[in-house]
Amino acid sequence: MTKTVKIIIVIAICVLVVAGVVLGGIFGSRAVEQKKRAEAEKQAIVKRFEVVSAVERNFLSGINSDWSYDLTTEELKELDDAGDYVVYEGWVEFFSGILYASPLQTAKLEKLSEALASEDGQKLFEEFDDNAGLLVSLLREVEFTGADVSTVVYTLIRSLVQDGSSVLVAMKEKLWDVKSAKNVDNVNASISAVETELNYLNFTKDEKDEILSAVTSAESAIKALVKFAYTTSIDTLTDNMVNVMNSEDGALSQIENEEIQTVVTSMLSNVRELKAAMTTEEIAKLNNAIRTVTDKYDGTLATSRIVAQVLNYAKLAYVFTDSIPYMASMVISAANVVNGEFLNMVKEYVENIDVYDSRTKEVNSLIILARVERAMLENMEESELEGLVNVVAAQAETDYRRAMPVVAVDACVNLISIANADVDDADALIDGMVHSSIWSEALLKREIVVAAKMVLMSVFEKTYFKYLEGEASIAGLSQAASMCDFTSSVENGGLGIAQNPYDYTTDTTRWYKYYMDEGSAKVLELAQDLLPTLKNDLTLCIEDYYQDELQIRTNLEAFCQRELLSPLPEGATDDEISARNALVNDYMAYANESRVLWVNMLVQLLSSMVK
Amino acid sequence: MFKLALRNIKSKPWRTVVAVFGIAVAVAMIFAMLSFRSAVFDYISASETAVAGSSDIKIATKSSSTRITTVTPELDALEVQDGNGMRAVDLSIYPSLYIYAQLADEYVQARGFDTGEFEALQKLDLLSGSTSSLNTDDVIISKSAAEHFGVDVGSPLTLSLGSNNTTVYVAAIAKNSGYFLDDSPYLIVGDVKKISALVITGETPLFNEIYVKVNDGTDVNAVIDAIKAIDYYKDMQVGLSHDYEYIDEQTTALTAPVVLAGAAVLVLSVVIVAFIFLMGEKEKIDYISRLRIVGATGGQILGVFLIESALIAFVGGVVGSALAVGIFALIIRLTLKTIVVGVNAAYLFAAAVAGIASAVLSSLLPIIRSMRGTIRQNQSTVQKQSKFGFVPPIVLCLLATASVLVECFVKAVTPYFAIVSLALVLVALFAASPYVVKFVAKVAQKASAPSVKTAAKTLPREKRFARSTSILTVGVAICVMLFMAWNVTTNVFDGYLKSVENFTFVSNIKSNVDTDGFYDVDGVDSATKMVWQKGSIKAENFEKSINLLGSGDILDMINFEFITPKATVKSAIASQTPGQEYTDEKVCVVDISLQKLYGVKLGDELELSVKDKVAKVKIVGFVHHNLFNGNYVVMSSEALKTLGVEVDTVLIVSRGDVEKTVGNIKQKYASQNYYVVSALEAFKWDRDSTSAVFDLVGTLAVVVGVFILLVSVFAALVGRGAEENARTSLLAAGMSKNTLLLNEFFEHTLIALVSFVVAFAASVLLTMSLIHALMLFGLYFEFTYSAWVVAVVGAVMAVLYAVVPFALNFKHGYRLKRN
Repeated sequence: MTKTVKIIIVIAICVLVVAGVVLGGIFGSRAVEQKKRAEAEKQAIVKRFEVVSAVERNFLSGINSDWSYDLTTEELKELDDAGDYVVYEGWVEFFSGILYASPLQTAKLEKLSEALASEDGQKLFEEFDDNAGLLVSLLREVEFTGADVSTVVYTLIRSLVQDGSSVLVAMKEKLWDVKSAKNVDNVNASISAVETELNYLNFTKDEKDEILSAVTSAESAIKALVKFAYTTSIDTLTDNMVNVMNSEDGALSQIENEEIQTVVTSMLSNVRELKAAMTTEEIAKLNNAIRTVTDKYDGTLATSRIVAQVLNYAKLAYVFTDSIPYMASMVISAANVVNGEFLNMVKEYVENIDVYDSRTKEVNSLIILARVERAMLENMEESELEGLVNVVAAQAETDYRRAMPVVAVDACVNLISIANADVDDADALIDGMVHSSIWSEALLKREIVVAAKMVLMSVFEKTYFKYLEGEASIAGLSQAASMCDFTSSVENGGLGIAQNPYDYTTDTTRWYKYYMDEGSAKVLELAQDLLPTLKNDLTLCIEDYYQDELQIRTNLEAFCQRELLSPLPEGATDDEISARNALVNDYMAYANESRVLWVNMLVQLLSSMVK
Repeated sequence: MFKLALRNIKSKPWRTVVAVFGIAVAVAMIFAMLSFRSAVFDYISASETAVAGSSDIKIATKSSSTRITTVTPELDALEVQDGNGMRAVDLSIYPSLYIYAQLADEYVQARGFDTGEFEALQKLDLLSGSTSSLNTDDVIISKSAAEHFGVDVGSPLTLSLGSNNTTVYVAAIAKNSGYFLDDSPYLIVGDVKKISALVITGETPLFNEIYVKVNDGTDVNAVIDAIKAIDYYKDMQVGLSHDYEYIDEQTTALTAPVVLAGAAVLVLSVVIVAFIFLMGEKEKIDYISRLRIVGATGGQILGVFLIESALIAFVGGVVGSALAVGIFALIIRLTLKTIVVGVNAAYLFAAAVAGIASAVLSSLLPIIRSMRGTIRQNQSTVQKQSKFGFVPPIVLCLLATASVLVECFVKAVTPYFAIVSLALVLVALFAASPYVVKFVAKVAQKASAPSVKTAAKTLPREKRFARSTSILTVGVAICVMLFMAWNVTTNVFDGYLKSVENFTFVSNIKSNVDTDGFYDVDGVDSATKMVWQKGSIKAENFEKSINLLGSGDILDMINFEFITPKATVKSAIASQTPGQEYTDEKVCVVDISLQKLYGVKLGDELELSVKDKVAKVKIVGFVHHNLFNGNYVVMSSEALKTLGVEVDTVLIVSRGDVEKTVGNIKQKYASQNYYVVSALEAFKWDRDSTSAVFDLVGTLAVVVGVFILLVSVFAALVGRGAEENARTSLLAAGMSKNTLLLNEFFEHTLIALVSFVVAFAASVLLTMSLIHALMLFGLYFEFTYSAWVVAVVGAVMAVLYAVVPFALNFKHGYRLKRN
């Protein structure tokens, strides 16, 4: 071998060795990295599983502190309330599966688990229906975002449709397995409840696909609505603004007027997002989904309170879905009132709320409301408001619940006007109506019946669900039905429905369904008769505001100039009290003339519905 | 001819290897020097543009405006004036929130973008985790931050600001690139709705910055003007996202010394290539004459040499290109610690071409030399020395001296003659150092030791020693220059940091903040509201970025050297209005370097631009300090207020432990969104990044030194290969191997000693000329000379060269062979 070849071989070997070392280092370190990553991912899965198990455990012990987690069949046979245990366990596992598969961070689920074990968490389980509002504050404490809640709720609905019956089937099988002499009554009751629910959920494949398709197509609308509802419930516009104004520290301490405007604009981003998401097409999909789901599932899943609560919220949302874009516009317009002066006023009101007497408190709240109303009306076109009326009227034709807004709004408007009239004098009542020329005695009676029946049937419905949950008696249910007075004629304040052919004691469900189906159809029919008048009345109300001769705007402006009344000093003299009463009467007159009282009643009605 | 060329290559394998290696090294050095500035520019640019990324315009709140902003409908539908009237502009608008929060009692930067817009301005380079489906409360942090806080993907982080807390979750960990190039303090990137929870509870997205990209090529300045015309933004800062002029100036400041030295390295690299091909010149001339004897034509001889040199040059060029990219990238990664390594293909090509061309052209020298003599003359072993060979070195020395004198005494042309001096001194060193060796060798011939005597006689006689001396001397001189460049800039930067080490900056304040509260904090000696901003100054003959120190008090707080008497300066900036300390007239005090560089005088006016305000300011005093390399302007805050530039910083001077004072201030103002940081910490990024660049310079200097040494050693090895017969004769004549080894050692030692001494002596002139030449780049430094740096560098190279005979075990190769 020549010297040259030797040299070339040596150099080549050196180059190969160096290259080998370098490449080996690179690939080796990559392999080590990949191995570490795989290990970390594996550990993350294990950790998540453990955390979700902890959530389940805390859920169960929250429902019943005597219940341990993951009891065996043999242990369950020794448990007196094994039936309840199996049912709750089934639903808890169903929810936990949703949480596990969700994009929620494991660390956040861990916080949720800890929160469930806390005092508030325990309270939530004690009386879920009464304390459902605690759920929101609990989720807030765990820092669930709007997106988190909307994702979970949507997945819950979808999974319910997809797997609800499987969950019940598995429950039933387990119930049979754990039945023993010790728990036979409890288990039998549970089996009966589960079987009843299974009967309701006995959908064909096509039906199931139809429901699933309706829910899937409305995904973005459902999520947008849930997200908005959650984020708005945990931070109201003025609450946050007052907090910021009050704070002497923080990034926006000593906030200035221009900054307030910017913050308000930012706060309304949620509203704008909702408005943008709720196009006509999306609303239609949402309505279809809600209708489909509530028709099939409402009242059928008594064993799951969370599901029942979600369905209640869905039904409530269904009443307002068509109006969302308009209401969003109203909020955005009304927010123009927020400035330093307004916030100082709100701050003053909040600080003295416990010190005001009832009349002063009422008047002051009306002054604040007037300013909000003025801002809204100044920033909205007349056509936009009339558009809202048209939408609300149009939706009333499809469902008796969706007729509620138009009836309620008109009733509120006219109730204020006829508040002092003699209720037995029909002519006096009609004359007292805001636009008496479009009303007749028959229409008035119809409106009263429709409004009353809507409220009473809602109570009847709630009582039935409580009866299913074992929290209301059959007698109470019967009483609620009597209050509705289904069978009397419309002229006599009833709905004129034929006698119920089912016995409420032995065939409760069919008895209930008969009344609800016939009753809601009748109420809808009556509402539809009223619709032209109601729509006309509300449209005229809007036009009134823009008519100079009626001076509503002028009166509103004058009322808005009023400052808040200060609290009466302790030990006020009679003269001072009289003077205050006179002032309050003066203010109330303005409030009436500017129709702020109507708005106030509407706001209170809306608040009560949401609560 | 091709076979002949290949045979020549194969017949001298070591020489071929050395030639290839030498060319490769030369190509690598040329590439490194060409790419250095652009590598530093990319590094600084990436860091300076980390925040604003790919945006063109930035709208930001400032201390005199509202603290938050929003995208108004007018901005969304912005129109600009063009020839045909108003037209809509295609913009991409990315609002963001940028605040300081606390995480585990440390400051962090929290940056919030709209959902789905995290990568609007910069790409996220992830190491772990994913950003494909982020929750609102997911964040991305850097690898450094993850290591520092001991967190991983999925970990919760609780951020706080005042009484507001919010928990976020690490969704991904990113490399220190993009946004995370500005990771001091640690940066957390998340959804604005969650980050805003630190300011206002709930999911309300708040912004204090808006980044705008102009998509349709509309003139960015026209868009800026249109935005400023919108009422909502009129009090905010609206300007270009990036100040490329500032980046360019920063790059220049850091790279100028190396660029200057780099030019010398470039020339040296070409000389090294030529030197390599001149090794064994005698043999080649002899070979040419033998070819002519056998009847080869001039063209055929040329062909053989060209093919041989082209092959070697091509392989050397290819190897050099690979070496250049690999080594340069490695150096950049190790020193700048950045993954931003751009390889400019044009530079690489130019370096390769330069190396190859030098090699090919150098290979023609033996042919040209052989043309001068007859065949017989060419075959003669006796080399005729030129009688007037000493003339060029003397002329060059005289020219260098003259140039240095002009440089020192004619101020108007100092920087220009500095360049000439640098070149002449180096060329003079190259030409004169062999004669110095000859002289020293002549003196050494008087020694009695045979090894010394023999070495002293051999040195003047053989051309290879002359070349080795020239290369080594110039190589040491250039290496010393690079180290001096490193030393000058390091000293200057470290020097000014010392003068601000007891300063603390409190920023993110409102302009009406009350400073009285700061005096209650333990450790605070003084608290001064001031403007601390970047700006630029412009005059007839220059324009440069500066740091605006907007307070009259700063003249007392920093130990400036007052070139204009202090009393005069103080009087000039004092106010005539009772109750007001400083004047609101637009006067300023600047560094003396402006006078040295650009000839500005007292009373001259400069155009100052700061925060998109422009004004003429009059110079009323000169001071000197190394702060910001002299790129600062001092004005009173009162004067700046008249311009519409409000104070934005409270400058605290501490007594005692600065970090304790910082802690006390942070504690007192924990609920405010102030950013409290010591000057050393504030400049940490600057210090770290410039340190990184200094490391790069130092590393390059070491690499260049090593390469020069290697080439010199290889050249010595190859050169001595041709003198094997002479050594054999000496051994045959009775010289012992040890004596012969000592002989070679002394040869190396004398060369090393001469190179060291001559380079050391020349280094003073070279350093002075280097510093003067920097004035061409707008940099002014006082003369700084660290003899120890020169001594160490020179001594190391000299010693390494001297011990080559022992290190490479020359003794092993001594053989008594029959001739």
